[in-house]
Amino acid sequence: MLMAGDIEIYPDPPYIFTDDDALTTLQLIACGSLYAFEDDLRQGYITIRGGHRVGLVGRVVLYGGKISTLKDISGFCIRVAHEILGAADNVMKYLIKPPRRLYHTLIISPPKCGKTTLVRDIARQASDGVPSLGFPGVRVGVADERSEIAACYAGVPQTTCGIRTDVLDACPKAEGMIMLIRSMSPDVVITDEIGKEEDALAIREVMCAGVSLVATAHGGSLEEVARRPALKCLFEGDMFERAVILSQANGPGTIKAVLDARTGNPVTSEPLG
Amino acid sequence: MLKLLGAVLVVGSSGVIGNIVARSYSERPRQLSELISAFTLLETEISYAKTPLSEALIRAGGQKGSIAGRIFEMASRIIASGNQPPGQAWETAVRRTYSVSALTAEDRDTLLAFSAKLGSCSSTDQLKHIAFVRERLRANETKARDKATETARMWRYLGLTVGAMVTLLLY
Repeated sequence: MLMAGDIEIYPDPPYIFTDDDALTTLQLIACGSLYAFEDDLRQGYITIRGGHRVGLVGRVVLYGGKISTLKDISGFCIRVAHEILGAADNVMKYLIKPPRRLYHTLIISPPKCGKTTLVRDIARQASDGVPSLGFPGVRVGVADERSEIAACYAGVPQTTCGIRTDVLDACPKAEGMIMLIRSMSPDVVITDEIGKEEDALAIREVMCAGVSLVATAHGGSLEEVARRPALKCLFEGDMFERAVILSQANGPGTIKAVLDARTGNPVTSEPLG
Repeated sequence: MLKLLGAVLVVGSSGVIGNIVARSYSERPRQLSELISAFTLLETEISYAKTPLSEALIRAGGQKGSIAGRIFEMASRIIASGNQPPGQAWETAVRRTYSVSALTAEDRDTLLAFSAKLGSCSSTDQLKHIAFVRERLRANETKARDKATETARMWRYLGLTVGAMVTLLLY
């Protein structure tokens, strides 16, 4: 067994992980209902109750040149989700655009730095309101494609994401963002891990509809994300107003900087913790 | 007088026995039809809502006391406990419930066939398996119904006739 990539245990004699073990593991993860996770398998991961994500590797089956499913699954990567209330305490004041709006914000970091944890807490604080900053709380719509932000189980969020929050669970985020605007009239739309062209198009729609947008993206810096082909158009049009950069420097969730996304300059010289 | 009372008792009780046996024949088609409805509901749960198996089984099982309800509920409970993989859980539920049902070995084998690949294939394949089992159950049900009408009548008459015969012999 590998914990966080390191071999922690050296059993003697070694235990050989068999095909049967892999199948049993998969069945337990899928609660004996693999058919319910077909779309997830196509993406290479399954999100289980509690918002934990299990990445899978095996042999890809193609149909008409597109990934139809995964078979002979042999490896699992279990990422345990943590909910940290107050993860966004240090950044909220830079994201609020008085009196009742948030800046269009992009949270940037490499994997495993706490983007989802931060964006979840932003959703909660924006929704409940932040009395210390005089922010009254607004309607929040979450397009939760991977069921990681709200970790919905049977339609009920398992995490605290705010009293004025509507969650559209497991919906492709590009369509989800537009659906939320049409159906729930949110003041803020929140989504995770943008990266496709259709996401960028949907984001433009959201921003032009007078709705604030908070999203996350993989990347090491603002420049790196701005160079990503699918997201380039958002930066050329100066769509984002704030960028929060996270790192692993003091463990996951370390806030490296809050930048003005248009100029690339930090909005504060105070330490962010 | 006592003899007459005895005779009435003998004819009456053998008539009742005949009726009980006759009713057990009409039980089987009823239980099969409950199972068919349950499989139809399961199909909807899987194709439309993609409900996880343990929940889908509970929802599809229908009335708790019925044989279909018992099998589906037991299988669901075992799957939810995680002690057995879905196919094995289904097998256990069918085998345990079989002894208290009016189903025959043929029905049991049809139900057991559903355990193959249960919960470990795509929804398209899962639906194909459901359709296959349902078709076979439907065929069994038609046969059982025909047989039940004939046999039930026979047992009812047989009960009364045997009763009458015994009375005559003893008289």
